[in-house]
Amino acid sequence: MTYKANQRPLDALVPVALVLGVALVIVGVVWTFTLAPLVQGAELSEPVVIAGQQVTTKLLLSQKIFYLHVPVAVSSFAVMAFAAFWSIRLLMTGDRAFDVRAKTAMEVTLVFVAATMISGDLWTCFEWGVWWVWEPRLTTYFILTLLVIGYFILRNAIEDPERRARFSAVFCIVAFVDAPISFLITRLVPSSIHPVVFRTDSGLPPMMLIPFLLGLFGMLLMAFALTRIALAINARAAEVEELKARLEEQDAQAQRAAAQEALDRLRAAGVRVSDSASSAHTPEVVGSNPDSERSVAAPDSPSKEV
Amino acid sequence: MDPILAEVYSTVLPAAPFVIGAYVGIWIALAAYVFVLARRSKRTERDFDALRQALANREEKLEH
Repeated sequence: MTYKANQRPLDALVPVALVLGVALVIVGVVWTFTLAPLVQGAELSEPVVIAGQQVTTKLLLSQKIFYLHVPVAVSSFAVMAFAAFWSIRLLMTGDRAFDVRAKTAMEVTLVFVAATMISGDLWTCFEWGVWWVWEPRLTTYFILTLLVIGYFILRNAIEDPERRARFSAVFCIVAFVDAPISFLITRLVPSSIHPVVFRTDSGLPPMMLIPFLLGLFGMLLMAFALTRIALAINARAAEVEELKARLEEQDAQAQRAAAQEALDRLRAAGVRVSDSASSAHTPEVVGSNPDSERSVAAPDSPSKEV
Repeated sequence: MDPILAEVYSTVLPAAPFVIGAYVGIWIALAAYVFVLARRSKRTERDFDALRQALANREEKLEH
């Protein structure tokens, strides 16, 4: 494992990234619920003036879910990109340290995917009145969710570490193909109900754009910090497992050697007994070759079978 | 409440549980993973200590 030698400079940034990420997200959330204006919904039966401003539409609170839902979803894509990158590196180098990294990144991806699904579904339930719609963005993201879960099912199904690493890497790379499709589906299928969030002409006023960007950068920093922390723990766990396996192998070797030694002692004793028995019962063959009798009495085959 | 104001805010209050649920859900998902990591870290440390002890016992046995 080459994990520790390569990763120390980045690990030094983890506490800063974690604290800064959490702080940015908290500031973003507070901004979202205090300073960011509510978006406008359906037309009112008649306009009304609130705090000196004319209001002609209903106000939508549910849209505030997107200030954190979109950053979490983007983070899931970003971390999965790293998982795919490390899977490619594993296939290129064969270094199993990349397997630990890819697995860790997929774990973090699963967490962010779950968070995205929870927040998105709650918005869907309130705004569309149903828990699920087979809309292109939702469908492609659901497929991504299943692929991430499938990755871990595949890992658990393969015993041999080498094969598990290679098969999982290939699966991860194939699964990642769905991430850009899911991200770009609102552009590829214009009829999609989901809005295109990342565009230059989004028209978001600064009071809405700033909390969104705070949430986005905060969540990306948190994803980075979580991945590094998880990587340190998983790498250590992998080292412990490797050490356990080596110790068990040493134990098994020692037991095999002790068994072999005992067998050799038994065989030698058997030969001595048969020698003395043959010399006692057949005095006429005293002058014959004892080696030939020994080879008949105790063939070498048992030691090969052990 | 003024009926017009009630109409303006008619979608705000019913949405509140969903918005709160979404924010809490995101933090719960992250917190759950942190909890899992903490447990895994603790277990790894315990295994590591056990292995170190086993190794020390083995070396002691070899010396005798």
